[in-house]
Amino acid sequence: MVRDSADTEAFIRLLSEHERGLYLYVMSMAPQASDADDILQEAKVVMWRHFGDFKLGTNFGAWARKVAFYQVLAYRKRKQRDRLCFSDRFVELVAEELKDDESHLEARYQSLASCVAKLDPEHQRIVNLRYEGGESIEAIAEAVGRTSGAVYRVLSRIRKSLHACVSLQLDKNLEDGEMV
Amino acid sequence: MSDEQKTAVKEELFELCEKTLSEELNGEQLKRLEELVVTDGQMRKLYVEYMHQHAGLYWQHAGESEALALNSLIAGLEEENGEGHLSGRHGDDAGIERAKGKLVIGPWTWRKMAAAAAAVLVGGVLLGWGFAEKKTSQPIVATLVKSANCAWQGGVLPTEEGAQLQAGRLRLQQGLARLKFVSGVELTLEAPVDIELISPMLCRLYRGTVVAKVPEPAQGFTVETDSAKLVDHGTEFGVHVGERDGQTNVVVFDGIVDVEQKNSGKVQRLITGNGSRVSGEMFETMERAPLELVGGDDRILVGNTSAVGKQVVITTADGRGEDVYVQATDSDIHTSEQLLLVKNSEVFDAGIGYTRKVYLRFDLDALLSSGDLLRAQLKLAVEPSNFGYASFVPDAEFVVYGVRDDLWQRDQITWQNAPANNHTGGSADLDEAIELGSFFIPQGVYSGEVGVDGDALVNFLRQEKKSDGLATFLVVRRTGEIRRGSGLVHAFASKRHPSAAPPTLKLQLAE
Repeated sequence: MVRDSADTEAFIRLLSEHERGLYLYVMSMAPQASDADDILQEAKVVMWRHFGDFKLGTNFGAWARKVAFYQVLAYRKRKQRDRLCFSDRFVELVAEELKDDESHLEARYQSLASCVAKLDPEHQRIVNLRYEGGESIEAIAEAVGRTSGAVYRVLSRIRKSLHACVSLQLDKNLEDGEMV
Repeated sequence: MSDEQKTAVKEELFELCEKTLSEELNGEQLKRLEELVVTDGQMRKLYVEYMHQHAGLYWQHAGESEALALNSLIAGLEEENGEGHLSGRHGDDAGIERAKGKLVIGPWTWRKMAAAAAAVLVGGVLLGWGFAEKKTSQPIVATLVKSANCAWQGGVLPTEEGAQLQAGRLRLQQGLARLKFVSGVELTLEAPVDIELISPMLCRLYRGTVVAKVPEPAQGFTVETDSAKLVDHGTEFGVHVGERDGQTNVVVFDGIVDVEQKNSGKVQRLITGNGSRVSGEMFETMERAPLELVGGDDRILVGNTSAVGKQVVITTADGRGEDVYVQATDSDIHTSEQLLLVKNSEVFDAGIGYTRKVYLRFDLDALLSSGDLLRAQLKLAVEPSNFGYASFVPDAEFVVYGVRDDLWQRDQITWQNAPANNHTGGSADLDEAIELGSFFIPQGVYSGEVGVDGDALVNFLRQEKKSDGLATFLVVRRTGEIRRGSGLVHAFASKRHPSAAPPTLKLQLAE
């Protein structure tokens, strides 16, 4: 592989600019962190290899998502044998929705942190353990001195209330005449 | 649906989302979730919001903090070595090391430097080893000495003339290319070729034809295929790996080659003029290999040790032959007189959109007085249609069916009355047709020759020869598209095409 330094720099710059969008895109289709990491790793390698096909100045995010989408499909194909998988049409529709709703989802993401901040400290701690430490439900249960079942229910309640909080906030922004 | 019902379904959806996140979804729940998401746009939106939020939480808590940590790390590193040179996070992180060498050049301002450094570190670390491996200065394996009129496709290596090639895959779609290995071996690739360069003394041929010229110091140069390992002892030899059967055909033009069948470990030594055919099960050696084995365009028929009898070629332009395509949607756009269009737009909620299928009819009268049919091959010339986006159709599989009914007319055949059409996208009515084989066209390929051969085709033709002397084939694309409707329309040359070969049957008959 012979690439010049300008290429390398452009690639890395573009990739880091789109890092978050790509991460959210892939993980929305492959919600388990380890799956998402594997897919992203693969996708980035493919992007690098095929960076020559990308025209500078065009939409890198869209190009990168396309590459990542194929990696999601390929990954599912590999894993299909040993676990339950959604159908292709399901994944395809989800991908389409992710694309069509990009700005809406971005607005939701922007509201997410403030909603997390509104959680009570105990719940924030559980979110941190789950999402920062990547702890299993069992490990969290031990850390907070509750049963796994209880932690599962709390986490599920937290996510639902976050969803509701974000929706409410966006509605409010709309009423305030803000663009979303 | 009442508001109450809506809330209940939403609750159910979120429950299923939770099960998905905790990997507790069982088969039934998965089915239910699919149903909700696929059939109900509102539910799909909610599902995506929920999953996206989950991803967002990860990013805010893990991803972003990692990125921030990297940034501060970079700041620290920069202070450490005041010249602004980057050190890798740890010495053995080759990706960063190399990126450093490449990137830190010229008069960089401090700001620019910091930004680039951040980008390199984030990129390098997140890309991990896959990245590092690709980017370390791997040894050069070969030089691309000639690449005139070549069309390349989807490989990982540069394809301009004079390019220094590291280990990696090359896919030559059109033309003739020549590589010179560091070992001195000259390898000529005859499109279509799919080959992996592994080292100056080793390559792996996935399909296609190559000719190797091995000078004395490079004795031991090896070409591997799926079924065989060819070790050269200072010679010139040709290898062809069949696209469909993966069979390896070798001819030694000059010198000595050892051929090993991988399955059995059996080795045969070939000398000038010898040839060999190797597959998983078969290992045949010919004392006098037909020289056209390599370079001739009919590789399936030649190389047959029982090369007796005669060859007959029939096209859809002969006798009562005909070719046409039918389209599911009544539409005047994107039609063609000269091309046979194929597409599978089968969609899940409604209709089959712009699905197209091809019908071919061959007049077998020419075979009436001939002996038994020994081998047969149906060939189609792939042409660009310029309709639809290749990005939305992956590597595509095409299926060829033998159809009982031969009495269709080009000007009267429609999607509705076409024989053996089951009115779906990528298949046929198996009461009226029999599957004879399939072939692949890789994504983005618009040229070359494809087709099927094999016993099913031979038997079908024998039968048709006995009945009305006409053989009808139906060609469909089994592979659908990723974005429905906008996927590439594949095309084959019809008998009305001004330059490309019409659909052709190549037959070998006993005397």
